Amino acid sequence: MSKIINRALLIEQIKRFWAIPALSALIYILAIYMPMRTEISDWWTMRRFIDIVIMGNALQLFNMVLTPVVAAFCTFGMFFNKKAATAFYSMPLSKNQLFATNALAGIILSVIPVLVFSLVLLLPIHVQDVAGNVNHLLYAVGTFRGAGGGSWSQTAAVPLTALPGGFVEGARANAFPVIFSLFMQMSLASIFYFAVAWLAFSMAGHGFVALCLVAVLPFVPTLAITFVQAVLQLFVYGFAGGFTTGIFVFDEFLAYHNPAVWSVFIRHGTLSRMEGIYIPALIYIVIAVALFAAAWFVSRARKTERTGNSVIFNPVKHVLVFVFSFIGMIIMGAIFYDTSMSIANMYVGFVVGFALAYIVAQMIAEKSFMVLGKMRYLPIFGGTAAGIYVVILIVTQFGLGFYVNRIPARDEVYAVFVTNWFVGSGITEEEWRRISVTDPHVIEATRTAHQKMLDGRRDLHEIPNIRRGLTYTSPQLDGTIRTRENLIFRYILNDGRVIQRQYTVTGDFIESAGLTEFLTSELVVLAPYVFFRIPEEIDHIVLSFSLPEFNPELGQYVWSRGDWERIIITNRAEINLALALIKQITMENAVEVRQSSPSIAEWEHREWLANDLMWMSPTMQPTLHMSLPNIPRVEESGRWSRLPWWNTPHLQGEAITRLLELIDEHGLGEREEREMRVIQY
Amino acid sequence: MINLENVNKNFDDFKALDNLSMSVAKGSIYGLVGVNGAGKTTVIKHLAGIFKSDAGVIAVDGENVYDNDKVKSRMGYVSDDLYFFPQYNLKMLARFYRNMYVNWNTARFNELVELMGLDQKRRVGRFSKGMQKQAALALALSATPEVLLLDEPIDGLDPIVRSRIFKWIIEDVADRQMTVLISSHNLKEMDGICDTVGIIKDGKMLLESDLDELKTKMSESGAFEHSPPSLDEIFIHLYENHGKEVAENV
Repeated sequence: MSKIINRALLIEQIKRFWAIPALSALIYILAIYMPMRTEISDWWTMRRFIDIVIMGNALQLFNMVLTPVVAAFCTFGMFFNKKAATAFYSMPLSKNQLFATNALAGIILSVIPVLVFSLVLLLPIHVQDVAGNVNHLLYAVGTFRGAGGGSWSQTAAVPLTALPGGFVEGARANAFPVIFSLFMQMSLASIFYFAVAWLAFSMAGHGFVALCLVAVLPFVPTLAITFVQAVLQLFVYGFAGGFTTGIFVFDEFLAYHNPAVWSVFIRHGTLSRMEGIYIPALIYIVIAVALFAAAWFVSRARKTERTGNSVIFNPVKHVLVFVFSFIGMIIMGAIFYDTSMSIANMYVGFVVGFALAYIVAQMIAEKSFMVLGKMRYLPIFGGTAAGIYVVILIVTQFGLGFYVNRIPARDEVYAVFVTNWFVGSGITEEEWRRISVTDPHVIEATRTAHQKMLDGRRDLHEIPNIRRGLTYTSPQLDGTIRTRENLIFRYILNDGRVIQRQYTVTGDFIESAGLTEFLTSELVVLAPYVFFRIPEEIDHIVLSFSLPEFNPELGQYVWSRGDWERIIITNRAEINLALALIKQITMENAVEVRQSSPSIAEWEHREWLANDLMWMSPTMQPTLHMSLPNIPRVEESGRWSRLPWWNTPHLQGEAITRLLELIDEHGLGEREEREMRVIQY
Repeated sequence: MINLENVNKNFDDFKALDNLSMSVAKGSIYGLVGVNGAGKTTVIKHLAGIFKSDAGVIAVDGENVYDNDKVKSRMGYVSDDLYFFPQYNLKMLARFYRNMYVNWNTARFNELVELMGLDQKRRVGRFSKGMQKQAALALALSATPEVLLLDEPIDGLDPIVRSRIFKWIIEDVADRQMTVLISSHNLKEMDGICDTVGIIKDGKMLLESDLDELKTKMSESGAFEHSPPSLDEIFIHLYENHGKEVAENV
């Protein structure tokens, strides 16, 4: 070890850049400071500590990424400074010593503040028993109760522990294993980001370009995946589909730069699965080692005399210029299409975007505004982009068609599940596998509906693109275009694999394709609601509501947020009957909604109004409580688990009134009046 | 001691060194002269282990220099473009050098710094250009190197400092057979210090000779009005009068 690490340089580099860990530690402590200012009995404060422990604090995460990048920038500063390069390479060091020593110095600078942060955090976490306050540690939904009486649920967020076997359910937890686990996670992440930064810096000879590369490099896999997905989406849906919401896409985009997140997504197809610590840690380690190896190789290969160039390696420079130009081409093409809804204009946008982005990229690459001489290469780059576009067209038309449009054969399918994205996205994989339908008639009906979808999809290309939750309106739209939905067809095959196809369609298309009857069938409408299939797991039903009262002064009905009424149904027979009534009302309500013809603005208003009312007064939605093994019921201990809100029917207005009339008619449950209790989710 | 054989180096399309060969004997002071862009700094940077040649051999005592920490630990290098750790003073730099170079001599360093009149506690970044060069020289000499590479070390220095620097160099050469390679445009002063001179033109070694012998031969050639000609007169003569042909005849 002493031969590859130069002790003198290591100590000097750490001494030189002592300010990095010092400032970083201060930033970390800021994340702790605010909760420590207030009394720990405040449940918000408790939540803040839990956020820190589960790596959910924004400042903590930002610092965890920033510190190693800055450390790498400083320890490998000779990559961007000719004088520094001359000095370092003339030192009595081999290249291996130079890189290994600086890398180790950078890692130490990155990890020291994490250590300080962990040590500082240990005391308040231990003293206030934050770790012991976390219940249901093994479940995706946890309920935390503050000493002030408030409570909240935290989903998919569990503080991982270094204890073998994890926590014993319900046990009070020692703070040390939790903090140690946090330290290990953050250190591993810091080392990972250091490796990313070093690789990016080893390719660049200029500080600005280096920082741009380190910002972009982690997203290369995401960009590649997003590009492929966009191509597939365009192929399948034409220009009638689109991302559901910009925010949704952006959140996922950011998440995918993290290799541990990839592992969850690749293996489970969703980001909402729980993961233990070991697999993500292993993935981080493997990828970090690979990045270190790549950075090492690139550092050794780079020539000292190229220090100061934007990108050290000419082929890499050309590739980066091309990629930048290509991205500019896509963006400009999308903008041109968006403003005119014309594919011809989109191609114009492609050309303009590519040329502009190429010029900018060359300016950055050459560190000069005078890039006229580089214009002679524009036809080559442009021709390459055009060639790639042609290849994409060929592959999607003649290669992907079979794969994307494949409906599994009847004898391949074990079960099906059909829903729309809005309700289906909240169902866990375990849940929808349980409630998938194996009835052969239903399977065949699903396949037939799916085929109708594919047969009619060419019509989708004629429909102007509707995006952003129906808030976008185009002058080309007319009143015949009704609701828009994302439909999900899921097939569970006999061998356990899952095939899922998701389509964005309009109400008109559904009707013209003859899918209305299928989509208003009990199969589809009730499929997302788990409890209809597993009534035995329902412990009790609570219907909380506040009916509007007529206000003479205002001359209209208004809701009061003060007094609520509840109907609590605990008797098994009554629970079954209540479920039947809820099912009946849900079906009636769903059919009414689908068969009505609201304008897009009306539907949007109704959808958002319903959401708003849901948060204002959850009484618009029946609350069903499940019992979990060994967990006492709500009246006894205050511990309960409720289904996520989107897994209960979304009843509104007259549907609620009808349901309550039926409940009263059958005399179900006990009615009580109580003041509204604030519950946060 | 130092040998370069058929060294080639290209920077993209530009051929910086073209089959260059040279040899520096142990305990000698070798003056590397040439016009701007001839390749002097490139040669020195190859010897310092900064550049890697495209072809050829660059060796000190038979060992390749590039990526060789053992060889580089016996070498001192003062660049024409100085770099010091930002915010560092001489004392801090000396501490670093002491840990990096096995043969570091603290007493020598203190002596040199005192003679130069430099404040060890003042940030080197705040020194004048001349003072920075002195600081760099002090650090390099205090490392007690076997080989000292100096790239235009006296440019910008006042005459008193220049003479001191040469004095210390000569003392080290005499005391412990240190080998020195200097590149400079100040041929008058090189004239008084160098044993051997190498003249580079367009990346090629135009001429390499013992300085006294060179002067004798140039005198005998009759090309100069007085004898012996100075180094700069010889240099100008070679450059202006079909240098290669003239050099071959020397």
